Amino acid sequence: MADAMLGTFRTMAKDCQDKGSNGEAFDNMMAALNRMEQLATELNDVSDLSGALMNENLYMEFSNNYTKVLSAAYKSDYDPNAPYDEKADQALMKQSLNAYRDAIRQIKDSKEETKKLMGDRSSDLDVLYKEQRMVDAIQAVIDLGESGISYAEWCKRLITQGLDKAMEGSVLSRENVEWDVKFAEAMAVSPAHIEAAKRKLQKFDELASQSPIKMPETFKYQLACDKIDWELEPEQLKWYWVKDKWDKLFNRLEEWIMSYTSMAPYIFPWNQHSNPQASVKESQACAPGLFRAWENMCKDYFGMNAEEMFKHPSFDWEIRYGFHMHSKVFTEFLLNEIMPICNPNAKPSDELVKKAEEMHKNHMVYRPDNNIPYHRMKKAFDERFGEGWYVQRHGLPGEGAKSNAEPWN
Amino acid sequence: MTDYLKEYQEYYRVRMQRYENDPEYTDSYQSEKAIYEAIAGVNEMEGFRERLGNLNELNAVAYTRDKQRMYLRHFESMQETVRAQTPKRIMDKAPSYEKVMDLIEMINNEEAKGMLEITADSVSPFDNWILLEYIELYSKADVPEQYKSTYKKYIDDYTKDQRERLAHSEGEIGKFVPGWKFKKDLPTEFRHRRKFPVNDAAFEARLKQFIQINNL
Repeated sequence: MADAMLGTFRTMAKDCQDKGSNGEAFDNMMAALNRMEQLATELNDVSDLSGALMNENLYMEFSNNYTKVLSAAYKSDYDPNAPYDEKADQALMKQSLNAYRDAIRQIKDSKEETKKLMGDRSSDLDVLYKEQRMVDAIQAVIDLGESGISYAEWCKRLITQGLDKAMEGSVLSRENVEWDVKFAEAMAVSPAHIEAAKRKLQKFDELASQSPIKMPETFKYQLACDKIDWELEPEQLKWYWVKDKWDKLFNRLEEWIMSYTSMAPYIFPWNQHSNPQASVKESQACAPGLFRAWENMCKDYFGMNAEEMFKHPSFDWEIRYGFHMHSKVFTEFLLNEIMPICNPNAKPSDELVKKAEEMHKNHMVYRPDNNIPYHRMKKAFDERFGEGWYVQRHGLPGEGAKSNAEPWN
Repeated sequence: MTDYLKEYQEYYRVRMQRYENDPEYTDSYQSEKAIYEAIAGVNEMEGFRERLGNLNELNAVAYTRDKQRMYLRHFESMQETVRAQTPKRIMDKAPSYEKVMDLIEMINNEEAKGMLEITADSVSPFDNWILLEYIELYSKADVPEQYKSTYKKYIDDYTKDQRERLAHSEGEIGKFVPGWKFKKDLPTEFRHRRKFPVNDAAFEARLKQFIQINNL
């Protein structure tokens, strides 16, 4: 636990030690780290430790002093009181270029450290984190500084040639933003989740088009993404809440009719209970009351009765994207024939019970195309990470329930 | 031979022009303009150093104010009143700073304080209605008499769990914000209310149920 929480601080401290840093800020930084280490040995719970570190302001104490140590480390031979000549100019240039060279080293080191943590999945990072774009952008800045021009000329050209923004913008990658759209489409959580990803890509292009170097300003892009998430959050939540509730309604309908079949005590969920027969009776007696109580909650929450809940676009969506596992024939049976009679004190007719039994025996309850999300994800991930990646990571799709039912259209 | 002064004058002119007419960076533009005017009016580098004074430090203050203003407008546009407090405080305090390192330290400290304010703004465990829903469900479901005692037990168990959840939230959040207690009016504030996508009457009933169960 302490390694995960303090690892970064230890690395930062070691980096300063390796560079021979010293002085008051360095001592304060090390004192903060030592106190963190002490707390980590005393507290075993993650949140206890995290709370103690916050309360003693140790993160800030460390970070503020680390900034001062770094700042001191880049102080150069430049003497602000001496006449400004070639020597002074070169000293300033050297100081800046060293900082950029250090940045390249840190980017590469950080990637290697992350790859070590990822173990046999480290190759994914080569796809997700293309540091070469950043390294190239910084190297262009260094190359310009080494071209024999003065410090002031170098600073000016960083702006006029857009090298400063290119360096900043290299953190953002359109390729990754595009992948977010493909990922959202493959996950298919809801239309608003896909909409969020698409709007972010659109915003990326809009901000890039306003920039002379065709890169969005990172800060403005981050604020825009935050706003997009904020705007779509209520819609995403409502979608999830409605889906959760019709799912509960659907389960009660299934529970009720299947509890009357002869196989009920031997199938899920009753076969998991200590007294399946008693549980079957409870389902027969109580499922309609619970169904209607859930329905009343839906009316209170969304102003929709059970029938309307199943007409919400989220129901069709779950069918279309392969998340709803039941077959068309069984779903229609529940919604058209069982739902209208699922009321407290009611009992389904023998004919309906027989129909449910037949569907179960003939493997008509579940849909035959039960791996749609798997194949959708496989296609998207293989396109991104290479053919065969998805099977290698997630294995072959499960067989699913046997089904003789017709697929959904 | 390199004319350092001329090159610096050009450099500062470019810096100033970068923010010209940009409504987001008005403070930075004024600050860059002051630096440019300082260097444009001298004949040698040494004169520039004297006229520069602490303008570079003030430039950092100006840039900070611009950036924090963008944060502030952003959070205000979303009625995120708690998140808006940090940039507002930083903007207010920034002008009194003359050293960049002190300014950075102040920002770091304010951001840490802001994190704690966001933690304190929690409505946990009211943000998860599952137990409250089951308590209502087992209270209201029309079921045969013989099952009512079982349902009563479910209700008692969920009520106990709900109270334990509140105690747990107070304990966990209290580690970061000592003495933290659930504020019963907080969920009705816009930034929280919008995360409960249900009708007003249902929301109010749920909150009332939570308050009653927890004797708040």
